[in-house]
Amino acid sequence: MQMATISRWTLAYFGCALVALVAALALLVSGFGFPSDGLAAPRTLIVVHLLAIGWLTLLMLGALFQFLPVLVGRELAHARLTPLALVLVVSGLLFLLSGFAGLDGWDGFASEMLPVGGLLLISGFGVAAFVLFATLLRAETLPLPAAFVAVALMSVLVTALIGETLAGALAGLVGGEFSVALVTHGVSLHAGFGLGGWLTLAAMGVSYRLVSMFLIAPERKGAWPMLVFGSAFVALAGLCMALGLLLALNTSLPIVLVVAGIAAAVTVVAYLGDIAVLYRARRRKAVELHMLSALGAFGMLALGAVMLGFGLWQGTEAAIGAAVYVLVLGWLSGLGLAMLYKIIPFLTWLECFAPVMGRKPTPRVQDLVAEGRARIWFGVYFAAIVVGALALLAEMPLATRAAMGLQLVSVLFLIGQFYRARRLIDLPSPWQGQERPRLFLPAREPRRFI
Amino acid sequence: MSFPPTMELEADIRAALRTVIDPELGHNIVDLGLIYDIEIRRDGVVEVIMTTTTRFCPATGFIREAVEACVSAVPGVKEVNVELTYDPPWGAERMSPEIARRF
Repeated sequence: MQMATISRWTLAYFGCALVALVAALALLVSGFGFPSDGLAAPRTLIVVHLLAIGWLTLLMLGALFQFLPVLVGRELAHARLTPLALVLVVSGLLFLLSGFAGLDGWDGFASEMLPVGGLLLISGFGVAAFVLFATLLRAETLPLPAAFVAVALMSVLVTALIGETLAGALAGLVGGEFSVALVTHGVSLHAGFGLGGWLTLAAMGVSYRLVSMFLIAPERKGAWPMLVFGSAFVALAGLCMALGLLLALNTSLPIVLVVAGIAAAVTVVAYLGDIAVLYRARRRKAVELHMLSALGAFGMLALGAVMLGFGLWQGTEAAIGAAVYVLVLGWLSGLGLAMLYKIIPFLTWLECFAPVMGRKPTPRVQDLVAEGRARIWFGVYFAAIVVGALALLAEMPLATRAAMGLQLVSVLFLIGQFYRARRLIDLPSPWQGQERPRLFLPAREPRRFI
Repeated sequence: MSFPPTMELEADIRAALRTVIDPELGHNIVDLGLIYDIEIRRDGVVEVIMTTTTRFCPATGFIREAVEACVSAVPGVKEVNVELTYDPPWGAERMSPEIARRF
């Protein structure tokens, strides 16, 4: 019987992702990017890509390398390529950010770095998608959570291709009417495929399995989760049609985007309904902190979706910016931080204690964390998102930065908790002498864990 | 050569397996209902049929190895074969009443 294995590079992905999150929040707190600059300003684009690629995409890829094998019941294919994907994505991101700095007029940086960064990113995402698709193809059947991941992987590739074309236009390598149409209509498609098709669908797919697993709740099957997948598929088809129109006719057809928006709203409502059923049907009465914090993230998805509808109807930068802020930092980042609070101790436990299980007493995964300390900071994080969103809507930049400052402090504290889990600091005394694992690099001697 | 009575040996094996915990749920694998069957042959060969709470969980291989190591160490056991099955899949109703209450 095939079994899932430990992904050796997942913690390195998480480490890079957390560095990018801290850097992005520190920039926002210092007044760099939106709302101090416009939504499409190069400085805002630096922060947005630091969050979308540096933080969320690296986090998601690291998580998928570990959990896609769990979803499909097969080992990760071509696992040796995962560090290559990391190097390509990180170097591509650095070039991309340098290109935006060039657009902003920084000395020593040129906008021509944008397409170079885009090419490296396409290569990195291509390698990652190859590994993950090859793993999906090993599956005898494709469970619904894995189908979400498959569609999400296609979306990340489309996102990267649109992004590279945009980079070419911004660097002056693509001109004419197409360039104008692309910059006018293509940015929203780029964001839709990236935040919706890639990050949100992948998060939904993985969360279906993780929520069910952590709460000991029966997996969702039948018409309702199919509605989630089907409506998401319609929304993405709408985006694809809009992209086709843009490429063929240099134009946009708003009705297509309206249909995609309605389908996306149905997806969110149906998905949150499913999550509510999973929580209600759980056999595990005591909810651990990561699943409690995930509730905050699910709430942010509902809030962000409503705000995005309102923002698009209003058409103001403040309303759209506030909605994207809630979706990126509340929903996706909140869920990511909540899951890291469980995944990091779990991987640490597997590395340190699983090999001796059955030979000597082992602690529980939960023994690697001290929930009391982290609980308040998850609360502060989500409260700061709500305050920050209100401040953005009210166009109060100082209050916005103060809220982002609170977010930064809570993220730093949570990273401190991840560090304590990796260093086995909170373990009860019987296990205090245990050899500590490396912080985020893989074990020195590669081991097969099956 | 004499072996302990089968029932006594099974009780010893179950007691030994109670030292193996499911790392995520924090309870021992016997009371969680993860051990489906223990068959003891007269020659001291033990067949264990077991499952895990989540199919394809990364801890699965380790838990199986732990069961193997743990049962092998029980006096009277000559050989252990551990079979992993998901038919039927584990459900919370398989837990012992005491664990279910604390869950």
